[in-house]
Amino acid sequence: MITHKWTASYKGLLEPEILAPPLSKFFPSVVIVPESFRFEIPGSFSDWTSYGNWQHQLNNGLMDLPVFSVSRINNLIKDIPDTKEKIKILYQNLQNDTRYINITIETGGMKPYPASYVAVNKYGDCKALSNYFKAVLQTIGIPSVYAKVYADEVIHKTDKTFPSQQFNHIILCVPLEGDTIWLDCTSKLPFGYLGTFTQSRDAFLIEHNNSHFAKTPALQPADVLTTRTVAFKTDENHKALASFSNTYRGESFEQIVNISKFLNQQRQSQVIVKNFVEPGFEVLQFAPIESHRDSLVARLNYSASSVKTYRNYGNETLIKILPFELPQLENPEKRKLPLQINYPIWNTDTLEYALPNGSVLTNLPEKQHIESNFGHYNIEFDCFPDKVIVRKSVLVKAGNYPIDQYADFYEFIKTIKDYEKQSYIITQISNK
Amino acid sequence: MNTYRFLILVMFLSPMLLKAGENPVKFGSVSLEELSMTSYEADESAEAVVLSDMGLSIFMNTDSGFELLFERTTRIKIFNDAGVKWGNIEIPYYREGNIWERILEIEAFSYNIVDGRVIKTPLDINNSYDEKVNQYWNTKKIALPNVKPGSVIEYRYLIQSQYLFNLRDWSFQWKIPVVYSEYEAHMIPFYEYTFILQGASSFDKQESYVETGISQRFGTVDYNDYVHRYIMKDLPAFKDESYITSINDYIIKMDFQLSKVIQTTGAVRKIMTSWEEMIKTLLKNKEFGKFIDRSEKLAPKVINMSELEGKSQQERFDKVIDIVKSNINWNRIYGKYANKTPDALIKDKTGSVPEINLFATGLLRAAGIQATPVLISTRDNGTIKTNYPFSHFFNYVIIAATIDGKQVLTDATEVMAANNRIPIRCFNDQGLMVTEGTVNWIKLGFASPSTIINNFKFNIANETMTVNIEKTATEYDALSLRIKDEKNKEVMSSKLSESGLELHEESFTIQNKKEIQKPYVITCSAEGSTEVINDKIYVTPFLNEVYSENPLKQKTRTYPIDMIYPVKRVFMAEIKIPEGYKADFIPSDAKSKTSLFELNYTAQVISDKVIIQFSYYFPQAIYSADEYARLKAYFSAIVQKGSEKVVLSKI
Repeated sequence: MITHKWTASYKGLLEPEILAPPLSKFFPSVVIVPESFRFEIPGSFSDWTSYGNWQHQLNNGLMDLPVFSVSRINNLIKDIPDTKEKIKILYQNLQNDTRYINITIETGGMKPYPASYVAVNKYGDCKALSNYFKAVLQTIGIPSVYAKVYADEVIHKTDKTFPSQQFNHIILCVPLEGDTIWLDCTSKLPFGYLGTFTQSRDAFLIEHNNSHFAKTPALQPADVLTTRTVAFKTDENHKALASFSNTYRGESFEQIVNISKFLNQQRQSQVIVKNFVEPGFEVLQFAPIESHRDSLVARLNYSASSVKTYRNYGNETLIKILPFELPQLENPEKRKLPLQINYPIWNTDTLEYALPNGSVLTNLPEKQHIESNFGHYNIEFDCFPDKVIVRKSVLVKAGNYPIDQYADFYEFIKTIKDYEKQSYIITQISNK
Repeated sequence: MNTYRFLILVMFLSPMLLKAGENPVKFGSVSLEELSMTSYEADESAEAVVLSDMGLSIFMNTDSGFELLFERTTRIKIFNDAGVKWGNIEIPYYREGNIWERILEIEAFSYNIVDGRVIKTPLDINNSYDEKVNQYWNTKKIALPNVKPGSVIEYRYLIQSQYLFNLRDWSFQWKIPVVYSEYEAHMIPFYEYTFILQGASSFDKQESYVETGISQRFGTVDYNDYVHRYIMKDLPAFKDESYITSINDYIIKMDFQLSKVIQTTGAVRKIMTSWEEMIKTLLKNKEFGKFIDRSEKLAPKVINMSELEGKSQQERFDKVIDIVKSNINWNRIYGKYANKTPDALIKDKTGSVPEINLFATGLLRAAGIQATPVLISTRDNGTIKTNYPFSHFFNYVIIAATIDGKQVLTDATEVMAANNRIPIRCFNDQGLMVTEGTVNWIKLGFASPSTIINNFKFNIANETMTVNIEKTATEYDALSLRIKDEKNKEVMSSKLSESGLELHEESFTIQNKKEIQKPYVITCSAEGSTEVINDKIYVTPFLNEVYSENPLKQKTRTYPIDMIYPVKRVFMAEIKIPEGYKADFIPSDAKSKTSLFELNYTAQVISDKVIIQFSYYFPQAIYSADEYARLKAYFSAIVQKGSEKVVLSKI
C-alpha cells in the first residue's frame, strides 16, 4: 500500500465577497481522480480525449426514440424548409411537452436516461433532456453535441490542465454553418438564449476522439440593458406619484420570465413587488407581466408613490433624482479576493420630473461624464418651464481583474454613487 | 388575541342513519370537458385546480389486530407551467418502532388531448423512489409522466397502517382551488375518534349511517361499520402570507384523534380523557414526571447545596438556572419526553429541550423553589386548542417557577436570554401547566415593550461631519442583538456606509455583552462628508436607522399580522449648528396616539443645537387582519418622519 499525504493550512477565515470568483478556488485543496476507472465501462482521466471518449461511449445506444415520437417530430417540421426554424420548432415543442425533474439516485450520476424514457414520461434531468433532444435532432439529420458545463451565475473557471469531472450541467451545442446554436434543454427561456447560468463558459463538447472545449457566447452590454422611463409629479402634500415603464434584459429578464412561468398570479405580484419595484416606492397599480416567447425583453409597468422624492423645506423643494442600483462593494482595505464581473451591467434612465405647482427651477446638478477602464457614467438635463428631463446611463464591463485593481473599481463605483446621492433638482415657490 | 380564531368544532362521532350520495368522479375516465378546460371559473388566476379529492379509511381485521386501510383518489387539472409541479406527488408514510405504515398500491395516469385524441399515459411504478424525511416519516415520491399545461392527472393510492392512534387527517383545502373534496371514514365499535374541523364552521354535506349487509364478527361481537362522510365543495386556494405563525393554524382541514378503545369485553380504555388525566399520566411517566423526581434527587451532584442556604428565592432560582445553562448544552432537539436518564444527561452534558428543562425543574425543586413544567407548542407547530385534550399537539417544555409569590417562565436551553425570559420560538398563545389535580393555562407572550433607543450626536466642521452613536436595546431586542453578537459591528459598518459614513473601527464598543439582565448597548462614532447642496447643509438626523420603506407591501391581508412582541423605538438627535450657520428648516412636529399605535416627533432649536426626538410604539403583539390598512398607514408615517432632514444655511 502506498500512502500519500498532503498538508496545507491557511490563515484567517475566507468569506464570500461580492463580484468575486467562487470561494472554492481559494481554499487549499487536493483533488484526486483515478487515472483509469470503471463506471459501467472502463474509462480514463489521463487526458480530455480519453475522458470524452468514455462519456461518449457511456451515452452510446441511448438515443432510440419510439415510433410515435419520430412521426410526431416529422409532422412538426414537415413544411419548414429552414434548418434553424426546424430546430426552434422542435425546441419549443420540447419546452411545451417536458418538465425538468431532478432525480439524483445512485445511477443518476453520469449516464443519461435513454431518449425513450423522456419520450414516454415527458420529463428528465439535464442529461436525459439533452440526450433526448440530441436524438430528436438526429431523427431529422441535424447533428448536435452533448456539452458539459459548470452552470452558475458566477463563472467557475475550468482547469484545463487537469482532466477531471469539473461540470454540473449538460447543454446541447448545435453547430450550424456560421451560426452555432446553444440550447439548455431544461430551460423555459427563449430559443438559443443561454443566459447568466451558462454564458461565457468553457463547455466540454463530447465527440468520439474529438472531445474539446468551446466557449459559450458571453452576454454583451446590449443583452443586459435595463431601462427605466419614469414620469414623476407631486401633489400638495409633496407626495410623489410616479409611473414606471421599465424594460429588463439579462438576469432580471430571466427572473421575471421564471416568476411569470412558475408562480401563480398571487405569488407573482408579491415577488415582483418585493424584488423589482424601486426601493422606497409603494405600488399603487401594477400591470401584469409582459413578455413574449421569443422576446429577450421583459416589461414592467406600474405606478407608485413615494414620500422621499419631493422634499419640502420651507419654500424650497428638493427633488431627489432616482439613483441607479449599483453593487454594494466592500472597502478596498477589507477586500481580499480579486474582482470578477461575470457579465456587464448596463442601465439607462429617462426620468421626467414635473416641477411642483407654482414653483420655478432654481438649481440643477452639473451634467457629468465619468469614464474609466471599468465602464462609464453619464448624466444630462433638459429643462422646460414646468419640468426637467434627466437622461443618464451607466455601463460596467465584464471582466477579471487582479486584487490590486480593485481600489480603482471601487473608486469608479463610489464616484457614481456619491454623485447620485447628492444630485437634486431644486425649486422655489415663485414670487409672481 | 382571540379575534383570529376560527370556530372549532368538536364532536363525537355517532351513527345517524342517513343515506349516502354518489361520487361525481369515476377513476380512470376523464371527460373531454375536463381536458378542454383552460381556466377555473371561480379563480381565473389558479395554475391548477383539484377537480376531485376523495379519501376513505376502513378498518381491517387482521391476525395481529385491527389495521387501517386508507385510500386516496385525486384528480387535478393543470392550466399552465406553474401548475405542472402538481404532477410530482409525495406520499408520506410512518414508522415508529414496531408500528408501521405501508403503501400497498399506487396507480396514476395523465391525460392529454393530442391531435384531437385523448392520450392516457400510465405511471411506471419503477419511476418512483423513497426518501427519508426524519426518524418517523418517509416519503414516496412519484413523478407523473406526460404532464404539461392542459393535462388532467389522476392518482390513487392505498396505505395500510397499524397506526390507529391517528386516523389520517384530511385537508379539504389546498394551495390551489378544490372543486370537490370528500372524506369517508368507516368506523368500528372498538375505536372511537374525535374530530376537529378547522377553518370552516360546517360541511357542505355531512352524513353518517350504519352500513347494511352482512355483519362482521370480532371476538363475540357482531357489528356493521358506521360510515361517516364529509363533503366540501368549491374551496378557494389557501393563500400564503408572511408574518403568520404556521399554515397549520389556518388551512381548512379535519383532524382525527383516537379517544377511546372499547374491548370486546365491554371494558373501555380512554385515550382522550381530560387534561387532568393527561397530566396525571405524564407525571407518572418516567420520561417526564419521574424524570423530574430523579433530577431532584441528583441535585446535590450538580449544585453545592450548602451555598444555597440563607439565599433568597430569586438568588436560588438564578443559581440553579445559571448552573444548567452553563453546564448543559442544548442539542437543538425539541420534544416533551426525555430520551435519556438524568444521570446520563449529567454525564453527556448535552440534551434536548425536555431533558434540560425537566432536569432544571427537578433542580429548582431541590433548591426549594416551586417549579412546574409547562407543555407548549412552538410557533411553527401550530396553536394549541385548549378544548381538545391530546398530548401530541405539544412539542416543547418550558418551566414556570414561583419566586416570592410571582410566577416567571424560564427556558434553560436559551443561554442568551435572561433567566426569567423564554425565547421567541415559545411565543405561541398559551401553555399547559403540568400540576397534579389542576388545569391551568399560562400566557406565553410578553406584553411589555422591547425598546431600542438610538442616540445621534452630530458635529459638523466644514466638509466633514462626525456622528457619535449610541444604541440601547432592551428585552427581546437586546436578545436578538446579543445572539448576533460579533455580526453587529459588520451590520453597523455597512449601514453607516450606506449613509456615506465610515465607522471608526476602534470606537465600536459593546456594553453588557454578558450581563443579560441589563440592556445591550452599542456605542461608536463615524465620519463622512457633509451633504452640501447649493451652499446649504442637509442633515438626516437618524441616518438610515428608521425603516426606509414600508415593510407591509401587499394591498390587503387575510390573516392576522404577528409582530411577536410589542415594539418601541426611540430616536434622538442633537445637531450642533456650525459657526456662521443658522437653522434654515426643521421638520414639523407630529403626534398621534391610538390603542393600536403611538407616534411622537418634535424638533426644536435650542441655542446652537437642533434637538430632535422621535418615537413610535406598537403596543400589541398581534394585529387582526382588518387592522392591516391602518397598520400600513402607521408604517408609512414612520418612513416619512424617519427620513426628514434638517437644513442649515449661512447666516
